[in-house]
Amino acid sequence: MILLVVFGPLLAGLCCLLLQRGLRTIPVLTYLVSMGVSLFVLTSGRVLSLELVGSFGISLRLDQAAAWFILLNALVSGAVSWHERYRGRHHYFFILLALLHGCVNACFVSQDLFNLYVVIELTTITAFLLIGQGMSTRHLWNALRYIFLSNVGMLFFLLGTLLVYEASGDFSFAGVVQAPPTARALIIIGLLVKGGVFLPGLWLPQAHAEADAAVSALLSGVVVNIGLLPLIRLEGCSPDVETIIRVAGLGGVFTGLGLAFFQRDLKRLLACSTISQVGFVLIVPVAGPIYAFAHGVAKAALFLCAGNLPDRDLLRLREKGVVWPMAWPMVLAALSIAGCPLLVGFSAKYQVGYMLDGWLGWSVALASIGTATIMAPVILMPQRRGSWKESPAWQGPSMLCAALLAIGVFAGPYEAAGWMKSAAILVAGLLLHKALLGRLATIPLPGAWEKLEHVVGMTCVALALLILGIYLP
Amino acid sequence: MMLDQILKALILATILVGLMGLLFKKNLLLRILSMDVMGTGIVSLFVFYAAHHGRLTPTVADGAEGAYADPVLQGVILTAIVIGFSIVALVLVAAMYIAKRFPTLNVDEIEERWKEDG
Repeated sequence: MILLVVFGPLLAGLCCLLLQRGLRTIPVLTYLVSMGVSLFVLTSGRVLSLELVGSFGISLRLDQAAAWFILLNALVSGAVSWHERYRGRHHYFFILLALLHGCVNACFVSQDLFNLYVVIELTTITAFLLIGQGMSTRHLWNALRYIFLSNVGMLFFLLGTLLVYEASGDFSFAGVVQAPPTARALIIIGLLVKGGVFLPGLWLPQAHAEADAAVSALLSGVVVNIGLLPLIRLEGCSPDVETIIRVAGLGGVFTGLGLAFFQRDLKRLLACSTISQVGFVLIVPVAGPIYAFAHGVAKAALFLCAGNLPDRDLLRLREKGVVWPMAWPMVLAALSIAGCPLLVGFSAKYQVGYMLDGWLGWSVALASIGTATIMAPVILMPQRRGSWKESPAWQGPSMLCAALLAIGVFAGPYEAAGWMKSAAILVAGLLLHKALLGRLATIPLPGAWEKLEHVVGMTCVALALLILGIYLP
Repeated sequence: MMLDQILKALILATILVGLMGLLFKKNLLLRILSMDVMGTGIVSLFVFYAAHHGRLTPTVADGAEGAYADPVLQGVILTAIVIGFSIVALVLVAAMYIAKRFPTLNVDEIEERWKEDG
């Protein structure tokens, strides 16, 4: 079954490439297969694993954590291909979508560092082709920046992999514990770049905001997760590594929030919110997969909606209003990210909050209020009358929101204290936006930090900090 | 042994030179080449570590003993070489298209002007 999940979409993509037909149906079948397999693993609690060729062979493992991510991937890929079906996309888009689906699934099931390197690079190349598909300078420059940054991160990762092999004699995740601290730092930095966390993730706002809406949905919803799941796996290996990654996650949460307060552009706001949300995923590794699922589905829905709005500027958008068939999936997804009960986001937030106490618990609660504040402009967006027959664009996001609602109702803890807390956070966030922080959006931030050299430089600074942080104590 | 240390120092220097070029070069083409230089350095480091226990070609043979190089590292790095070269090729194609639109390879200039064209 694992082979089906990984090679099914890849084969489907190749078949479509050769046959040049069946572009919209064959890949969708493979997304349904992925969805079925992941739901099977989630409900039955079984772990699927596969060893290819003895020692130094490749081992694949589909456990509960991977199943959440694969389910997310299947939902988002399905919704995006449904959303883009009549938009005059070049047929390569659908082929690349199928290939991306297979590569990302491969990242989620692979169990050793080198295999992970290969499939992450494969995903990077596919994502590069998707981002650059429009062929305008904007697309090409954005794609070039993306692959450049990823490749620098993955070069660090490769170096770390070599040091791990030298220390432990194989490429398994567990070997990271025996490896010298430099190797750990290099591997973590590589994954942080891919996951868009904290300082190494500062490339993310521009890359995700300037891509086409459907591609942004894939990048923010699915592709960042290829760095997150390995980080969650590494957190399980040793307490030292866990502390480092959690600190980076917490840093990412507040960096993302701080940037998001100053954004006037809707897509940039969503991208900055991604930086803060991926931080949350890493803070509590046990709740990480469900949090990543909740965030990925909601963020993909938001990006798909953002592509169909009359304007990207939040202030002008408030004057124009949004027709209601587009507005309600947007509001639902934003509420899920803010942690409103009955949606998956609430279950995830509840699990994260449940595991934490002391100052960490308080800072996460503070960050949750911040999340509600940055989502407030989307939740409070004025709505305008309109007909659902006008355009089919509401369907894709609505599918994702239906999934958010269904799993949220099914999983959500029905506990009075949790509901009260989340309602209080939500109201506090909205009030804070109305009273004060909403006005920050009109202050323009200087944009020079987003230049390619500065973003690469920040990655190197983060690497230096990480090595110092490991050696000093 | 001494020679090994010198070799390792040279390889590490290659990686660092690549990294510095990546950060400080203003020309897009040179920056991409620096990325490739860094990649080459890391590949050489793999080969260097593979030759730790010996330099003979690892072959399958009955009862053969001797100082063989580590076949796993050598096998694995082939994949990384292919990935590295395909990525450089893709980046160069993108850079070529961009340089055709605005006849410049200066990163700062591109960074200012990429928004001009929709």
